[in-house]
Amino acid sequence: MPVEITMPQLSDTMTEGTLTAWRKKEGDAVKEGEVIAEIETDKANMDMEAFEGGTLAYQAVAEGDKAQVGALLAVLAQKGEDPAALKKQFAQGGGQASTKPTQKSVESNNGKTEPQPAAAAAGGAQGASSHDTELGRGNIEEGRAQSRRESVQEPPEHTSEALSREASQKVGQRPAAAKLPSAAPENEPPRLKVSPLARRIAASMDVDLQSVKGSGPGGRIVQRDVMEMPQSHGQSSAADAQRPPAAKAAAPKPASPLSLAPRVGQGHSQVVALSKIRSVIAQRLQHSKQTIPHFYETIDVDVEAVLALRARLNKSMEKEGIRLSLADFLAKGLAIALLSHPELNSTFDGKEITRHGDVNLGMAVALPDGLIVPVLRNVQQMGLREIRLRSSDLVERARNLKLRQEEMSGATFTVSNLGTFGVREFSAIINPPEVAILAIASAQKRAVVFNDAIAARTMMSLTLSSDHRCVDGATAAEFLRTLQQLLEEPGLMLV
Amino acid sequence: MPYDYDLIVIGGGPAGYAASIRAGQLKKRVLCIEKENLGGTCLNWGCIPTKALLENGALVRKLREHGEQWGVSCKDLKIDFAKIIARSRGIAEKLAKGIGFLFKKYNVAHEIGTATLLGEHRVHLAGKTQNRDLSAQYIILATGARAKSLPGIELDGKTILTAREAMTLAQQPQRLAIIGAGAIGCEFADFYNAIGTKVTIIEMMPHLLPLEEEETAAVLERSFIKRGIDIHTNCKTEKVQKTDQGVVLTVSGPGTTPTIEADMVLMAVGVTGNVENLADEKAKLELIKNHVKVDGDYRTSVPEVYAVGDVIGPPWLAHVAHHEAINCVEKIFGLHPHAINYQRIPGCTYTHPQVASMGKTQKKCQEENLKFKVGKFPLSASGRALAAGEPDGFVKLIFSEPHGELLGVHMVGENVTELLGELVVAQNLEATEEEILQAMHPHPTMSEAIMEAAGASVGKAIHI
Repeated sequence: MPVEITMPQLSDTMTEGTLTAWRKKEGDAVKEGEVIAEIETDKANMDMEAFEGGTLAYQAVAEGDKAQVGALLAVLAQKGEDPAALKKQFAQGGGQASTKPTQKSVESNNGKTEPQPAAAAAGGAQGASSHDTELGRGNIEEGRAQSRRESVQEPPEHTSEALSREASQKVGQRPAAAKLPSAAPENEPPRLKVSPLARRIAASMDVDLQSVKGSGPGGRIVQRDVMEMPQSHGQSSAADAQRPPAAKAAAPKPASPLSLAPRVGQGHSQVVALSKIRSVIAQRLQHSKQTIPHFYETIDVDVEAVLALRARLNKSMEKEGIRLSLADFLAKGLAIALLSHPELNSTFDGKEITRHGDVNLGMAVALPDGLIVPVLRNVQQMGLREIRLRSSDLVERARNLKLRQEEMSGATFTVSNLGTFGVREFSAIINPPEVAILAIASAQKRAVVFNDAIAARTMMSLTLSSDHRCVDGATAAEFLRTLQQLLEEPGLMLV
Repeated sequence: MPYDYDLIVIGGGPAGYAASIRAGQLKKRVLCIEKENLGGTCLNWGCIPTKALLENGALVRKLREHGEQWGVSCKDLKIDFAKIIARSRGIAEKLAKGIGFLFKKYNVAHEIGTATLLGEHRVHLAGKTQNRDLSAQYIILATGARAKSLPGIELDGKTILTAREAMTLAQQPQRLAIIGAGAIGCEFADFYNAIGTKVTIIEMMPHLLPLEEEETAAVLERSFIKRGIDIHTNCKTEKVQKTDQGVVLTVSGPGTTPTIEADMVLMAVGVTGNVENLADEKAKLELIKNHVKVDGDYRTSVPEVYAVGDVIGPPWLAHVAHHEAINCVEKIFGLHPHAINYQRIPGCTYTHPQVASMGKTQKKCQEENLKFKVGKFPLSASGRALAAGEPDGFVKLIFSEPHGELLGVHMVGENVTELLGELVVAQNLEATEEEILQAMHPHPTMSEAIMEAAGASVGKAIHI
């Protein structure tokens, strides 16, 4: 019986997905576990793997097309079936179960996998038989052609990319891999057009190429794009070779380069179609702001003590290459404050409030178009080192759209940090079902009254947005007061 | 009031005709005004006809130098100078006609005549068939440049020549002095030497091709000296006196005879913009050192009037003019081309051996305190070069450290000008030494020397 592959539900909120790229053509042999297409969901880009082997007989949607969860995407011909005949049959709408959403014949290596037992068993059996046919001459030829194609797609000069991919694989921990004894094909990131020189400079400057907008032909990222990234100006190593030393010495501190070039031509207007992620953001945030009675409280925190402690700790951890950020101390302080003020570490479904004994901290991460909120789980169990390592891994993978589903859900409290943008204070919108969100602004020197005299102290403003249906003003204020004390006397975090 | 044209281009050389054709492709109403043949200096009086002459020179040189050794002797080698010149002129004419054909294809109107900029949107045409004022929304000035002389030395076209006369002489000079050892001076030296003229070069700077890498110029210099060309570098020409026999040059420099006699002297000391009578005074077109002053977008001081090519100043190269023209037209009509990178202009000299380069010299990299590495491959290790009997020369690539940006290319040797295109593309695509090294180059070709030079920069060259 032919295998129908349907749009999988890759997250709780997913109702439809976009098939961004076919990785197998009609007529291609597909092995169990091989990636056949890439799918963009409301949260991330994911690879779709075939749960059973066969020959890809029919592609029901074109690249770039949207499909409802459960809708038919492709048909795999099994041994003994004629792919051409199947294609004809399905193209005419003759599929047996093309709209049956429960059939799960695919899985995402990142998403949840719920194969029906029967299908799984069939898959195993089919997998074995397709392996047999692979010994046939035709398939060997096909295999060689495939391997030649792959080597063309992955030229040797891109070894750095291959390495980083391998690294991300290790971090990625694909849950499905255990089920697939055969060597699963690599999970390729979306192709990024980058010049070799730009790639090298980005690597040496720690610039994330995913966040660089390419100005070359077809959006190719070239040298100047990387050099113009804000990160690249703070760090001198790569610019060294390019800039004469005089210019380097004269170059002031990091401040982002000011790009004043108009981005929409005069007399023109630009219509921007909503990306999947943008339409989800639009829908969610509107819903939050319209249904939750937000109220806001701002507190100023003197962070001199934390900064001094951070400098000492960073020095002692220099050899390990770990550099703590202010945000790490905030996460630590928040974990303690939230556990002692569980009113804020709660979720609310409109009927009842659930207070949580674990702190799962959502961290809003900006993407080139939109934002994503990875979740750092059980922060209350972590020391600063672990907070740093885990959060930087999450943020990195969030930027590369490489998060697993469970890493994007289950937050009990969220922070939004615009500290690096020089923002004095701002307020954030609650991410339901959570009941509060903390907006972290820049730490900056301000003239304040300190020991009854005016002094320049490094201050940071924190603004808490709370859901007034379940949090009262005084409750929120008490929580902020605790957080302030923890940060101004960081030793308290040890008590 | 509607204008007669969307664009009027004054000048039909590499800048002017390219601008006209590009605008034609964009479906604009274009008029190109040129006083002579289309194609400008490049096609008619520069790049192309001189290459024809140099091919003649190369043929003669090959037979003379290698003939007997290669078993192809030619005892009675005769030179028909008039035929050599006629072949060169024929090629120029054929190409000029080709441009006329392209103008028709892209609906570019063409007037033969001179034009004067009257001001914003207005041009006066003194044409072969009509004399009238014309209007256009935009105007591009592309009148080019011409050879200049040294102060106090008057060009007469008979004994004191520019390149234009030197490529159309009725009779071959027995002795030719050349002032200026840039590409033009060296190419004429190469040609006339090959066909038997006694050639003397006088250059003020310390080496031939002063803008090129010293090391490449040295290879050319050795070859010139071997073939009997007299070279006076670090040498200033004080005076040029016409005599009954020709000219006597008074020069000053270390270790040189104070006077040099010759039948003719070729002035190859540079060019000057064709700006005379280009604009009416009322147009208030700003000039700078005999060239039209423009900003980064090729805008002149007159609104809606642009200028490109040799008329806006150095580096006075046809390919630069061509790219400026395309860039300018695309900007005018609302496209968004990337700006031209003037740090990466390729340059070629078609002497024997040829010299080809792009980007910074090693000296310049040192002056700018850049971190770099050099990969060099001698052609004496290239099978293809040996088979051609041309082992002199090398390919030298300069890469930035640590990222491997291609900062400079310096090549000298047989046909190396044809190798430069690959490196221009590599540089433009931001390839590093790794990509050049890993790109499979065909064997046996001269281009392998590029791959090997890239390899040499990281200690991975196989054949050295």
